[in-house]
Amino acid sequence: MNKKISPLKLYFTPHKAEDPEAGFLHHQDLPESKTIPFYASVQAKFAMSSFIILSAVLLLLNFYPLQATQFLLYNSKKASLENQIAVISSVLMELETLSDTAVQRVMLTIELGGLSRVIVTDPSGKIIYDNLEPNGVPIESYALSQEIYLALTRNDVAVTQFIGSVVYSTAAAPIIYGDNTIGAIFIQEDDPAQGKLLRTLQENLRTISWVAAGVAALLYVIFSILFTNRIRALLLAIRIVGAGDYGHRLLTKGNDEMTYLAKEFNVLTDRLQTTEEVRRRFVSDASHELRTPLASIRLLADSILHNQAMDPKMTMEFVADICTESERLTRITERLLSLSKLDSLPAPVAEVVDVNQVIERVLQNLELVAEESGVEMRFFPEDPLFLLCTTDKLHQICHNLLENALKYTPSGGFAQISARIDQKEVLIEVTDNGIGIPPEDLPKIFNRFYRVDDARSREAGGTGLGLSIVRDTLRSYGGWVEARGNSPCGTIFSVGLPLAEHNSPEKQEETQ
Amino acid sequence: MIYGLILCLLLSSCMYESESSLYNYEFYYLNQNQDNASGDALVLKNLYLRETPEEITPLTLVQTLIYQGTDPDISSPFPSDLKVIKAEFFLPGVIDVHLTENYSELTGIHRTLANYAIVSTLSQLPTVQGVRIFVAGEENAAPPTLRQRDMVFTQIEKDDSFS
Repeated sequence: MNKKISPLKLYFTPHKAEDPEAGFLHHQDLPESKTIPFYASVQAKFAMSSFIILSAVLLLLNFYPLQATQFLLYNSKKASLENQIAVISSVLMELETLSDTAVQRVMLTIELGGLSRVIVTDPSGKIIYDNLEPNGVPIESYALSQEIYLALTRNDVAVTQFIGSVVYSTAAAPIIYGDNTIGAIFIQEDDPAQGKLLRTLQENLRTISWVAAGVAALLYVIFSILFTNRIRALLLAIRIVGAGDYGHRLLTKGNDEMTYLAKEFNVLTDRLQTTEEVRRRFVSDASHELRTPLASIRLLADSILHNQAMDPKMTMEFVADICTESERLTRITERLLSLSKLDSLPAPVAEVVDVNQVIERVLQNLELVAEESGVEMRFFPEDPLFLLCTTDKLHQICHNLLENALKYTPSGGFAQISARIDQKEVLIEVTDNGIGIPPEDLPKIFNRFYRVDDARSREAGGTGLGLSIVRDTLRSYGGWVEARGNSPCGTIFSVGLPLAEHNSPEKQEETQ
Repeated sequence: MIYGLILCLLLSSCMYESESSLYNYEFYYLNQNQDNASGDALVLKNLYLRETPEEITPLTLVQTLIYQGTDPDISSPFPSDLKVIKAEFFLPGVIDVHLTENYSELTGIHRTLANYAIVSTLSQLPTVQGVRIFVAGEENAAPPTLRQRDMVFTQIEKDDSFS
């Protein structure tokens, strides 16, 4: 049996390349395979799923920490500005009216801290105080920002924005005296330090994302190549085996699904190879078995044809031999046909068969053969027995086994057949005290064309197929057969077949 | 059927002609964007008029400003029944706008925003330096001449916004 192992990760084994005469297939010998477009390949699907997962992770990595930090920072800024604007507006609320000079005087007393801009307006939006103007005194102008508009319509506003690399926070509030809105205050704080922190965080996350994406892409390429190479090796192995090289095997290393797939492939190929070898041997054996009687017939016929002065008695003997060989040829072809039917056709539906009745008929058929060979046939029927098979098949099984016993039992011996119930089966045993079978040959005697003693078998008219037919027939009906030596000499063949319901105790009671 | 097809082609060509012969002008309205509390209180809206830049008059611009401007994100700062009596150049660079009595219903910041919506809209005309607004023949309170440069915006320039 030629076997060569190819590692899953390789397309070809080195052995194949080094030994082109070994009968293995080469890559160029294989039929052309259909090329899988990249978009439909496993690699592309892996790439797409990896890309989606990686994108989702990177998006989350980029946005969530930044958004969470921004949220905390914005809330902190908002609270800080709201406190500051509340302090300033409470001071300004003490003024009855917001005159330019009064506001400017008050504002000079307030600590503005880190505020970059402070604007105070009257109810029309006219700026009364602007810290960016010299001494806080503005030229006649109006602040028309949304914050101030909302503040003058009695809304408190606080907004924080991250623009460029600076965090800008603005807030506005109305200045209310009694029930009247006497003005609005707007403050702004620019925080480049926090902005820089956010920008650095953003850039770091971006850098980490790029590095992670690069590493992930590299790992993906490596793993996908490793994985798809194994699939390719498996595909190639299937193609090689499909093209007829049944000796091709995959190296199974590891314990992942691909390894199990490779192991299953090897098991399947083993079975395929065995089946193929059995088929080849059978064809070879069948050819040989058919050629032997044909050669004899031709030789005998040639002798008669080329020897005009042959003694008529000898001619008759030759013709008789031709008849014997023809009969043997017929038997072989009939049995080959039986085996072929067993292989290819479904077995006829099982029926309830009366075992004793069939055995009686077999004994009648073989009575003449037993008399000629001087072997006593014994059968002691007990209670009626029924099993599941067909009458013809059971007849063939019993006939083959008993005929076999008669052939290999010398004159004066016996061949006994018995049948009994053994648990859920009917056990039929054929026992003889003949020449027996060597123990080392017992496992092989059911193989097609196997003979323990070739010359003796031929002399006895055996075809080497009888026991194979018995085994294959029994398999078709869920039965079994085995052979063992008989003490002190001879052989015992045991056959088991499923018991029919007729034999169940309930049925037997009904019958009685 | 053929005549119908020809008619359709003619109509579509006329429509194309009318679209292409409109001119873009800038108008200012109140910002009503509730999602953002920062920015300018007055926002720009582009409208298309038949008049060419040479034909356009201050009256046309003010009338368009007052009688149009409906959008989910903007609103008109003017009373609904306000009428424009007259809008014309008084001196080179100064436009007088005469409005009906009900303009005086606007007070405080609402009046300021309405004033500067008119000033900003008219300032797109070449050579305009200032605008004087008259309500029922009486001149607007101080300052008498409104200029676009008097508006102070506190909006931060969003040139590289992240958030």
